[in-house]
Amino acid sequence: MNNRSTPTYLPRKSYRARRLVDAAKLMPYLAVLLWMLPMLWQGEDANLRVSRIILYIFGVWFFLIATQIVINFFLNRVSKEVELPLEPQNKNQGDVG
Amino acid sequence: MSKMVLLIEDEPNIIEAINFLLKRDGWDVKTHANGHDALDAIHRNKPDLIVLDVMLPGKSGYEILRDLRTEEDNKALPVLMLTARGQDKDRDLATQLGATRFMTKPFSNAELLSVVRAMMDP
Amino acid sequence: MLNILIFVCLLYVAFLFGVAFFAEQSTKINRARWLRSPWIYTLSLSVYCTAWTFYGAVGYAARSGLEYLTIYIGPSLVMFGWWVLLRKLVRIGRRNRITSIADLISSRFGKSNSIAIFVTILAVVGTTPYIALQLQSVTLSFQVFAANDDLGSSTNLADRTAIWVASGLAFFTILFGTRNLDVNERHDGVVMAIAVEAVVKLLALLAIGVFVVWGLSSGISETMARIDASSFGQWSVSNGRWATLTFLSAAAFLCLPRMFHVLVVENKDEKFLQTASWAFPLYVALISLFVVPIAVTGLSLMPVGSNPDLYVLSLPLSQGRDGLAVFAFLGGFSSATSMVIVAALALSTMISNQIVMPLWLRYTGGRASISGDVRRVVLFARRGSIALILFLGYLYYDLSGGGAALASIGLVSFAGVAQILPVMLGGLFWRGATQKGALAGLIVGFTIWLITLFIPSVGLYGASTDTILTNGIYGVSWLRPQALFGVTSLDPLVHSVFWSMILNTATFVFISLITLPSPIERLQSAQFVNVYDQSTQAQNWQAEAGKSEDLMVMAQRILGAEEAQRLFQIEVRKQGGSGYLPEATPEFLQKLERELSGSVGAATAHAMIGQIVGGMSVSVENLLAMADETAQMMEYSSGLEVQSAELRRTAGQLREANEKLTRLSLQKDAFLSQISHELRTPMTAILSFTEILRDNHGLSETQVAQYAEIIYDEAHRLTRLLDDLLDLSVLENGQVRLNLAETDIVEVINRATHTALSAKSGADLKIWVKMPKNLPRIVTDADRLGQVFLNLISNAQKYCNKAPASLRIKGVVRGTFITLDFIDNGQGVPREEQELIFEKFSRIGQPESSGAGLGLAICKEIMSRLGGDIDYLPGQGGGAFRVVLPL
Repeated sequence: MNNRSTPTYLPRKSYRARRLVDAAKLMPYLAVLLWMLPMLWQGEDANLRVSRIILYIFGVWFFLIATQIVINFFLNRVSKEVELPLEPQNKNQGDVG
Repeated sequence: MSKMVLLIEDEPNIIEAINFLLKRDGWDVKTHANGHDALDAIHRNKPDLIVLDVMLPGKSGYEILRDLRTEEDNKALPVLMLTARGQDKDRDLATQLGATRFMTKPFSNAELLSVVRAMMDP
Repeated sequence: MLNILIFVCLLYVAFLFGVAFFAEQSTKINRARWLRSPWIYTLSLSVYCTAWTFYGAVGYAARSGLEYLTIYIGPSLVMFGWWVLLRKLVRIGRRNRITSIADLISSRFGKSNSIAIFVTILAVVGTTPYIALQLQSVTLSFQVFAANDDLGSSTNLADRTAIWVASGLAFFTILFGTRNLDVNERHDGVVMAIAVEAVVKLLALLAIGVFVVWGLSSGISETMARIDASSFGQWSVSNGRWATLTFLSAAAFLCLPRMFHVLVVENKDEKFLQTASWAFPLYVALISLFVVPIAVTGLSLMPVGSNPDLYVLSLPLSQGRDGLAVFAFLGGFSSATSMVIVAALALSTMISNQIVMPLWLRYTGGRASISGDVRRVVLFARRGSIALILFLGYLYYDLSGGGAALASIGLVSFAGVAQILPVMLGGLFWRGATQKGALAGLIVGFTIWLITLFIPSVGLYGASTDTILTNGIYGVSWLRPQALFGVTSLDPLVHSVFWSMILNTATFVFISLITLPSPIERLQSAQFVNVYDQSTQAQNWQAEAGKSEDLMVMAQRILGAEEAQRLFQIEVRKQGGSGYLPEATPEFLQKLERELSGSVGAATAHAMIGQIVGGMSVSVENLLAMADETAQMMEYSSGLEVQSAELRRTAGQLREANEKLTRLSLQKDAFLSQISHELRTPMTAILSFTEILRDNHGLSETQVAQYAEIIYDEAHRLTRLLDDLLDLSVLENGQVRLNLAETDIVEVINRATHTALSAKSGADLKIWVKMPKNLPRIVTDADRLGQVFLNLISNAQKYCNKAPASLRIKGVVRGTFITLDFIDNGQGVPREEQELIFEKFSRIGQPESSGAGLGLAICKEIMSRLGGDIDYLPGQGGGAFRVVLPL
């Protein structure tokens, strides 16, 4: 019985793993987008206060850090159960150590 | 003047024994203890007879004999080979290379003396 | 005050030495689990934050507002994108034992030397002013305290500070960076000290920030109001500079030699990256958090004209907070020193591996790899380079006068090393990138950077600077250094980065498209670009028989005897043989090359193996196989590979067994003949003299005594021979009874040495014994063991033909075993006889000595009875035996 349920279960796991890897890959683009955004502000609203900009930039910083922690957490959990794509495990690394 | 024997052998105690026996029998005895310059020793001493051991450091008795026989002057020089191995193939090899006589160690003193006398006085 | 500062400073330095020393000791005794932590790794990445960012960021903010944030945003971007780039970089670095960024580029582009030299020069040119900048910051911070003491800012003090700091750092780096030639090029002591400094500088800056926000203002809201009211309360950042500086700092984070060193070379585990991917952005966010408040407060509180670069120090001093100021000083000191130490270490590795070693190899010709002491040369080159780099840094500081020109050098330096980025990314992701393309791109980028940024900023155009800037080089208007091709609207820095990166990349791509890679480049490109794909492990060596011993000698010279022997032994086991010399298969050569490149760099390691094995041997078949890299093909061939490896192992075992049998049968034949000889020789003397004595024709008394003595001696010799034969047969049949007892090995060795040296036949032999301290007593048969030792020592006496003859006996504990090496300085045993010497009656060469050739056969039997082993140890420059005993 268990055998029958496994096939439907596993692909879902590896599907999740793939989407997590996608998220990890998208992180830098998200970061670039958020941090380059202030360049578009200066023309239209010249009265923008520096303190707001500071809050925004540091807000982005801590938001990205938190996101990264969350992604890493799930990556770690998933990688214990399925092999991550693009991650042939360190079998051959053995000869390094 | 007595005839001269050159003894080429590396075991010190066997040298001592043969030296004693041949001298007592009236021969002049010279000794040489290694293989690689044995030919020089032969040229230098011009012996009337050579007693030659097979197992020598540097160059074996067989090789010395082979080289000696290539020399025109020494084709007929009497050579008595001594060996501690004493298998048939050793005897064959010695004869083939041109040894005059062949003796296996150990030997009796009388036997050695009679062979040497016979070789000196054919 | 100044005296207290110097005292605190020295105390802090002593503390850092202690930390580094403690970390090294911990690694040595394998208690260093906590050293292998992602937190230490993350903290070590903070060498990115130098004194330029510690002091300079506040000054930067006071002058240009929020622009300083880009310097931290760039690296954060790189860390957030670790999955895409850093993971691959670290994987490649670890797999190929990369030692520096120059090594990486050279290794990717066909282990090319010219490109390695070029990258090294670029790195040195880019880094030297930066080191000068650090020296300046320490000097300036001392002067702040001196001024506070009313000692005046004498240039004398400045000079002395700079030179003391430079020499102290050189000493530290040499001490902990080049203590030994590590196979992995990792330095736990240095990394630990850097991590501690990282904590100090972060805490120092946070402390100042808290003091400013809650001590000098009443809290966050008041601080924010003050920011908005200040002179840079308006958001006015040039878009070009914002984007360019972010890009530049991201590029520099990857390409700066010191960053590459901590990111890739000192990385112990790929998993650390995952933690660092959020922890390092957090670190730099915290570092930059209070910069603006400090700058704003400084601008409003400090007298007009005071240097904003030093607000971090002068602000607490002006408020009478001396303790806080000293803490801030230590933070700045930490920033400066950690940068200089790692930069010097990384550059010295590059100089020694990419410039000195190739030169030395060429100078000494083909003999180099097996005759010179390579380790010593490498270490000497490293130490020399470190001293040289710090001297250059000091010289630059001294000559530039420590003026404002130096302060702008940070970004200039970033722009310089960023020229490596296109080549690095191209090498990592594009199979088509060629060595010629890379070199051309680098040269173009470097030249444009020199003309447009470096030379104008350090004022090397001299008096004609203005003329050249306005009229162009040689008066050609489109060659104006800050307005190339008529582009006048850009800020000079943006202009330089724009043109150099565009033309660098364009040249690199174009030349790569029109040139063909060499075979070795194609192999390397596959290994780099497809690093996650295991099946592309290509070999670039062909099997070469009979070179193993030379390879062993060379490997020992570079990796050290122990490491090399371990490596070779593992390989022999894998091939299914025994002893220390494996077949030089392509796989083994590949592996050896990788190990060596960890110590001397890819290009040098490749050249050294090439000298021994002969040429680069990539076959046409290899290339064809690579061209058709379909997945099935690879799968199929890897299956074949496994099979053929197995077959080869079996064949190897069979061949060895067969050869041994053939030799054994020849030996059996010789055995009778031998035993006959050994028995008959003493018998001849005995018989002859017995006859003489029996016949007794007037022998003198002394003659009788002498001849009796001879008979006695020869009879003894016969007895000994029979004893040996019996001994051996008993041992071989396993009937021996061992007298096991707790034994002190050193005592057994001493007894054997004493016996051997006092024997009358013993030739003059000098014996050195070196045993580990606190050796535990072991349970063994002391008499039998002594027999083995005595045999080895008397063998050395008999066969070692060097005058003066010497024998070294060296014990090393390896896990649950102790090995004892007996190494003499004679001619050793020729390769083809090494396997035979443990057989019965096998005397090496001519039978010059009195032994019957049973000694080593007996030793072998005894050692196997004692649960150990004895083997011939090749490649030691003399006769060498290794005895292995279980502890």
